[in-house]
Amino acid sequence: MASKVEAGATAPRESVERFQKDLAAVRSEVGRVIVGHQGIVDGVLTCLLAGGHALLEGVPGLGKTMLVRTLGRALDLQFSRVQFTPDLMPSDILGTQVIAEDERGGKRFEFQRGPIFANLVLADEINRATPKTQSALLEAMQEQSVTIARKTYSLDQPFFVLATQNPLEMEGTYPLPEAQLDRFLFKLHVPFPKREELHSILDRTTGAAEADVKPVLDRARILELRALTREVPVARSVQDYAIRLVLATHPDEEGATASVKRYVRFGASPRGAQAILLAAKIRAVMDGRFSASADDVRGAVMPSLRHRMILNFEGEAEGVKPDAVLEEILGSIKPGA
Amino acid sequence: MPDAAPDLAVLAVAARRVRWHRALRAAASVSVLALAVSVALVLLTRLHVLRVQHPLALALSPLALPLLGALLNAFRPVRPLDAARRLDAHHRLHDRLGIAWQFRQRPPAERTPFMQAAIDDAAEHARSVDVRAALPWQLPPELRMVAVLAALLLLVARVPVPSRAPARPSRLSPPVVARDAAELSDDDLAAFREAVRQVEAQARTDGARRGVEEFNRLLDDLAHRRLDRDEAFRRLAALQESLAAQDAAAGRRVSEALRSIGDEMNPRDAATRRLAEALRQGDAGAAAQAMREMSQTLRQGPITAQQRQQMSQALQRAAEARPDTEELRRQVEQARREVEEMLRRQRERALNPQEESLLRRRQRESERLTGEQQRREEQRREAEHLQREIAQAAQDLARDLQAAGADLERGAEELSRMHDEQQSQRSNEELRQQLEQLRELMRQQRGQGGQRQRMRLQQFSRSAGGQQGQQGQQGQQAQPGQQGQQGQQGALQQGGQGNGPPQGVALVPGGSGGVPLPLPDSSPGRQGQGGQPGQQGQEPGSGAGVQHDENLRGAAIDPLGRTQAVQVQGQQSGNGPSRSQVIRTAAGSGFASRPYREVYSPYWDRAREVLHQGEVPPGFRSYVRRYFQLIRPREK
Repeated sequence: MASKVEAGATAPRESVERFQKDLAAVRSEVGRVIVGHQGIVDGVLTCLLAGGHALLEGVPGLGKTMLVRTLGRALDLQFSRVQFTPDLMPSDILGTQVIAEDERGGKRFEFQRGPIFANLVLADEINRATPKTQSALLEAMQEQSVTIARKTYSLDQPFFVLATQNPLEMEGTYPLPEAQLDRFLFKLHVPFPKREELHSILDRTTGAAEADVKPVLDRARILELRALTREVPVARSVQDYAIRLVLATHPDEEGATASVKRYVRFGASPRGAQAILLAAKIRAVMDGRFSASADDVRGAVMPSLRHRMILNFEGEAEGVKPDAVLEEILGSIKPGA
Repeated sequence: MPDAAPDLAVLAVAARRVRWHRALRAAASVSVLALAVSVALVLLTRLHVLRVQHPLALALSPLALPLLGALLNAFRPVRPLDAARRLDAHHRLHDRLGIAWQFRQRPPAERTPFMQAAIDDAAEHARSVDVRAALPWQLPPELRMVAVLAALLLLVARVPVPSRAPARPSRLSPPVVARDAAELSDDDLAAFREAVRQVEAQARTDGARRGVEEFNRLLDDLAHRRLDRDEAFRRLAALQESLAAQDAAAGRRVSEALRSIGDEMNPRDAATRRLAEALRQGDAGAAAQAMREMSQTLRQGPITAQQRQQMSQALQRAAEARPDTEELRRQVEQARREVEEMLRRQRERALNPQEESLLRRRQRESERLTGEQQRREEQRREAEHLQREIAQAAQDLARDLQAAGADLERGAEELSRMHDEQQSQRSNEELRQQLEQLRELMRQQRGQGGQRQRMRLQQFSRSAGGQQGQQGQQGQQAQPGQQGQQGQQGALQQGGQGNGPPQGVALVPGGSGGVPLPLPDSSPGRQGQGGQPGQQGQEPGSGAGVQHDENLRGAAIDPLGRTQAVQVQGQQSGNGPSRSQVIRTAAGSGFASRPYREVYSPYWDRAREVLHQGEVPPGFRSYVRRYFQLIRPREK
């Protein structure tokens, strides 16, 4: 049975309108600094509101870090940034026990919190760290807590990790294991700016004026919005469509396309279906609707599933992009069939 | 049914419209198939590959399928969700209507505020939905194919198709003959049709019905002059062969088998008297009726024990009746031994003429007896089933009257089958006689030469550019030829041969009352064409015509038409009546003044009376009828 928390306090229509208004404010603030990338901004916000984490992939210099930093300022959240390097250790992220001296001269161990203890964590170039360090971060992402010296420290909510990574073919990178990739709600490709956007970027960043970003959402409001998105219902036909799309990524399933059968080794996990539905709900509310539609599902498929499909050797050798496979699936699986 | 609530009532309208769309589409799709089948059926019917009683109805019957398909789809329910999807897609409502319809299927208590908000939102958007715009009427793409097939159907139905391609005449066939369509007067055709109708009423088996059908088709073709003479005779021969192939003696064997059974039954036995009489007469139909009555008597009762016993004995005798073959077998054996003995003697020494004559007589006798033995064996087989049923009935009579009644009923069915066979044999026989009459009639017309054919010959003679054979006229006055008819012949052929017909018909000079002479390589069937007796020729001459041009028996005419011009002359021999003699004779005894048509009718009426009175043996009645049909006055 659906909760009626939000409904009891405010009518759905007003809640959705406020949601749209808040989101518009965030977008506006981010837009003062970030040029273009509206899809990326919406994707990141979707992950934040869904309680998931986002992985941004793009070549250096596209403004990934700036985007996250600006978002942190607009949301009035505690922000920390970790630059992943090959010599980065897990304790550099999580924190460590240090010997502290009290006023009376006594010494004791004291936990020194790492940068993970923030609301918004930017894991920059996550694939430059070793797998051991990557695992430390990803464990915190999944458990929403950190355990050190047999003591568990809960992370403050909202806890949102935004990782960036360079394309895998670049040197000095450690690809994230599939199981860890699965923990990101979205994987977003940051495109290269267009000509007009580049003009704007240069105008803003090479002049003397510096954009001032004001916080428009606080922690409490973000948690309210999170609760609100969970209230959005999904019709059975829409949910069935999402499931069929996920099943179609499995080469052994009935609806698998030719590309899936040929190039895919493992399809998306149930987390993929969860990610699609959550994202679809948020897209619906962003659009001022009260229920997720098939179009919302289709819009959420790419960022939700592209990092959850594991290609086989032939797919890798042929240079097949998961996006192409998903495009084919979307072309063949129609809603309401 | 779709949600009938006012806020989403648009779904009901859309669902209805989707149903009609589907019906139209189904009708168009099925129409393609139905029209294709119709075209095939019409084509087969018109080409006579398919023979049915009502070809048009059969050919058009598939056209009912589209209606059926449309109705099925019109009444098949449509999911409101499907209709909602169409509306959502057209108006870009992001599945609002479909989702709202799904939420409305839940009980109100289970709906969350967001669900209710979604329903309200959909209802709000539903007000601006235009069903007609979202579901416009569109012509199914199959309609183009339907139009093409319909046009094809009309074409196939209207374009004349030759009934049967006549055999193409060979290059060497005489062209005159090839154009010569067989003709029958309407009167003759009506007579044949009437006779065939009577035969058809008797036909009980498929073979007999096929024969009648084929005969009717032949008459139709003759009536429409679709057959030339050769083809007509060929069809006649084929039909006669087909009828002859059927077992002509089967009906006779049935009758004999029945008689042999009936002879064994006691004619004074009241319970089986009618059956015995019918069997003795060889009438299977009457016997079947009598046996059915006996069956009813047994089933309905009451029947005394004495009657029961008498009936049982009578049936037992009937069941045990067998043709006497023992004596015949001995005779066959003896005749065979005698023939073998004489043949052995012949091998040892030459037989004298008396002995050879005796040997031939013995051989014929042996063959006759063997044939008779086979006939009786077949007769026994014909009655075998019937006697088995009768024997069973005789046994059951002692135990169970109902079972005996059932046995007799089966026996009656067997007799009915035999009756059908008899009837069909009779109808076959009748049909064969009609065919023979038709053949004779056509042959007669051919011998007389049709008016049209004479006209063609005259035209040909003129166009051949031959010299006017003045002497041809003289043939009328020529020597007293044996027939004198050929005077007219001479008049016909006065043009001589000129460039002549390519083959087959010689143009005979009128001299000496000559006979139409076939050329050496002309087909025998062409002789005598153009031999229509002339008016004057009806008067017989006093002697045979003589002296024709010997050149007429020269080389064959070149089939390619390179002919040799030959001049012929009639010669006066002083024999035969002159024109003045003919006129004088007529003045003395008078010409026939009463039309033949009037003479014919009373004669034919009288002949019919005699036939009905049974004064003519059955086997010869058909000859009498045939004779009168042959001398029937011709149509003008």
